[in-house]
Amino acid sequence: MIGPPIPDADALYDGAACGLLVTRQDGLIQRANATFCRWLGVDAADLVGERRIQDMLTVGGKIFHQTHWAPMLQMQGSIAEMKLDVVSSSGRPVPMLFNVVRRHGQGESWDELSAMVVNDRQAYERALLTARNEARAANEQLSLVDRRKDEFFATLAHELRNPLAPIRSVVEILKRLPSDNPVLARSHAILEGQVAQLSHLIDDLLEVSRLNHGKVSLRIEAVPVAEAIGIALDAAHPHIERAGHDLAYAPPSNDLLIAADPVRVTQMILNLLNNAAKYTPDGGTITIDVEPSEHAVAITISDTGIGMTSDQLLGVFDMFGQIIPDVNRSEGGLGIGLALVRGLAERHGGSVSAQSDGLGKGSEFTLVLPRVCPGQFAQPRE
Amino acid sequence: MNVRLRNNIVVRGEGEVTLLFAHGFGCDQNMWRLTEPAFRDRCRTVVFDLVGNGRSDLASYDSVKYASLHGYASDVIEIAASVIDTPIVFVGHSVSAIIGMLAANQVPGMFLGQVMVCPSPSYINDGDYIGGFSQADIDGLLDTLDNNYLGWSASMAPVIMGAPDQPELGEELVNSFCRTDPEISQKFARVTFLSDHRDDVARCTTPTLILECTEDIIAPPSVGRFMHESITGSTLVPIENVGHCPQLSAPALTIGAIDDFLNGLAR
Repeated sequence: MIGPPIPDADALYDGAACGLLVTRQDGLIQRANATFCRWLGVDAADLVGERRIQDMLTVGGKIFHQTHWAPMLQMQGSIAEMKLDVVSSSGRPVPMLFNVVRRHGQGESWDELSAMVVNDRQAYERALLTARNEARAANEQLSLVDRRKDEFFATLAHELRNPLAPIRSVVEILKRLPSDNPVLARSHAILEGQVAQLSHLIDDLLEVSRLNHGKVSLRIEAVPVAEAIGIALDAAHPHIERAGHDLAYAPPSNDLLIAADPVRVTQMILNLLNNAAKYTPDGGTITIDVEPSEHAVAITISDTGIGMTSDQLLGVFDMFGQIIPDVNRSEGGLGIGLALVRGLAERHGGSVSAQSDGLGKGSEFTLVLPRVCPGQFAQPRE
Repeated sequence: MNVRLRNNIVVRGEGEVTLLFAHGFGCDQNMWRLTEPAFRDRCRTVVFDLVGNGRSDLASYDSVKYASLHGYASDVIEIAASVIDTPIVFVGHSVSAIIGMLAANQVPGMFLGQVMVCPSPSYINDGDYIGGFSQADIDGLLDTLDNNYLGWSASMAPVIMGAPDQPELGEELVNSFCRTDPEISQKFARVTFLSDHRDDVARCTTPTLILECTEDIIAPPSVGRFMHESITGSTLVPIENVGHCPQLSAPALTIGAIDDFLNGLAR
C-alpha cells in the first residue's frame, strides 16, 4: 500500500508547523525556517548572519531577554514557554511562545529555538488577567465598604448613646415627682423600660464594633459558673417574669469554674436569656442546663419559642442575620446580641452554637467556655 | 525574622575581606554561580536573595518598605551589620549596584569598596541624560512580565532546583531558575525601572569599580559614562560582552576585573 508522500528532512524543517531557528550564543540567527519567516513577512537572507533574535523583540521584550532569557539559558541550558512579542516586517507585534535548548559540540555552543504564534492564547490570557485584576479591585472595594460600614456603626452607636444619658436622668426626675395620676405612673414605667431596652441595644452595637476592631480586652479569671448564671438571671428576671415564662434551672456546684472575664460571661448568658424570652410566646418555658466536660463547660439555654428554619440557623450569629427572614415578626431584631455572644465566646477561646427542630419547635443555644480547676489561677478570685 | 533566613544568606570561603554579592532584577543568588566560587580561596564570600526573590522569605515582603530601593538598602545594611565582621567589598549587579550605593550613602565607610556590575541610576531618558528607555518601553516590559507570569502562582514560584552541571539532562524545559512571585516581580520591576537615583550617585564616596558591557541595552555606555563621571575616583572597565550579565556570559573577564580592583584596594 502506498501512503502519502513523506517530505524529506529539509522540507519538513522548512515547512514545519512551528518556527524553527538556530542562533549563536549571542543570539545571531544562523538558520530560520520558512514558517518563521512567513509569519514575520521577512526573507531568511535578511535574518541569517544579519540579525539577533533579541533585535526582533519589542523594547520590553529586549529587556526581558536580558534579565530572564539570557541568564536562564546560561544557567539551566534551556527555556520553556517564554512568551514574547516579535516585531514583524510591518511593525506589528506577533505574540510567540518560545522553547530554547542550548547545544554544545566541537568546542562550540549554539541555541536551537522553536516558536509558535499564540494570538488566541494571548487574547484569552489577557482576558483572564483582566478578570483577575477586576476581581481584586472588586474585593478591595468590598472590604473598603465593609470597613466603612463598621466605622459607621461605631459612630452611630456613639451618637445614639450621647442623648440617652440626659433622657435617663429626666425619666428618673419625672419618676420622683409626686403624682397620683395612674396614667403618668404607667407612662413612667413604659419610658423607663424602653430607655433601658434602647441603652442595651446601643451598648451591644458599640461592643460588636469594638470587638470587630479588636478593641475589647478580657480580664480572664476563674469564674464560678453558678455565680455568672445567677447574676444574668437577676438581670433577665423582669423580662422573663413579664412574659410569664417558667424557668427550669438547677445551679451547678460552686466548684465548677470557667476561665472567663466575669463581666463578659454574664453579658453572654444574659443575651442568650433575653433572646429566649423575646422569641418565646408568653407562658413558655426557658431551661438552663450546665454540662461540664474535662476541659470545658457547656451552658445550654433552650426555650419553647418560635424556633428557626435551617436557613435562619445558618445566619443566626451574623449581624443583621435576623432582619431578612420574617418582616412581619413583631419582635424582630438586628441580631446584634447574638453576634456579640459569638464574638465574645471566640475571644474567650470558646464557642456558641444554635439548634432548632424548625419553626414553632423552640431553640437551643449552647455556649462552651474553657473549664479551669480550682487554684489554677495564680491570684484566685475573692 | 532572622536576617539569614529572610535573605537566604549563604557564607563561604575564608579571608580578611568579605565579598558581598547582590543579584539584580530577574534572578537570585544563582546569578553568581560562575564568579563567586573563584574568590573563596582568598575572601569570605556572602551571597543572598533580595526579599521576594529566590528562596528569600516571601512573607517578609512588605510592599510599603520595598516601594523604593531604600527598603532593599536597609536590608543590605542589616546583612552587613549582623552577618559580616570583616571589611566588606560590595559587588552589586544592575539594580543592586544602586541598592549598595544607597546603603553606603546612608552608612558612610560601610564598604571598603564597591563593584558596580552594569549599574544604571535611571532608566528613562531625561533631557541630556540617555537612560536608554521611554516610559512606554518600561510599560512594555511590565506587559511582558504579565505575559510570562500569568500561570505562575505564589505557591509554585520559588522552586529552585539546585544547580546541576548539566541541568538540561535533568529538569529539561522547566524554567526552574529564578522563579519569583509574579506580583512581587511586577512591583520590583516598577521600583527598579522607574527609579531615579542620579542625585545619589554624586554623593557616593566609596572607592568604586564600574563594569559595563559593550552591548547592554539596560545599562548602555552612556550610563556607564554618567556613573564614572559622577563618582569621583571611580574606575570604569568595559567588558567585551553582549548582554547585561557579564558574570554569567563573561565570567573570566569579570573575575579578572574584580581581582584587579581588590589588589588596588589592598595597596
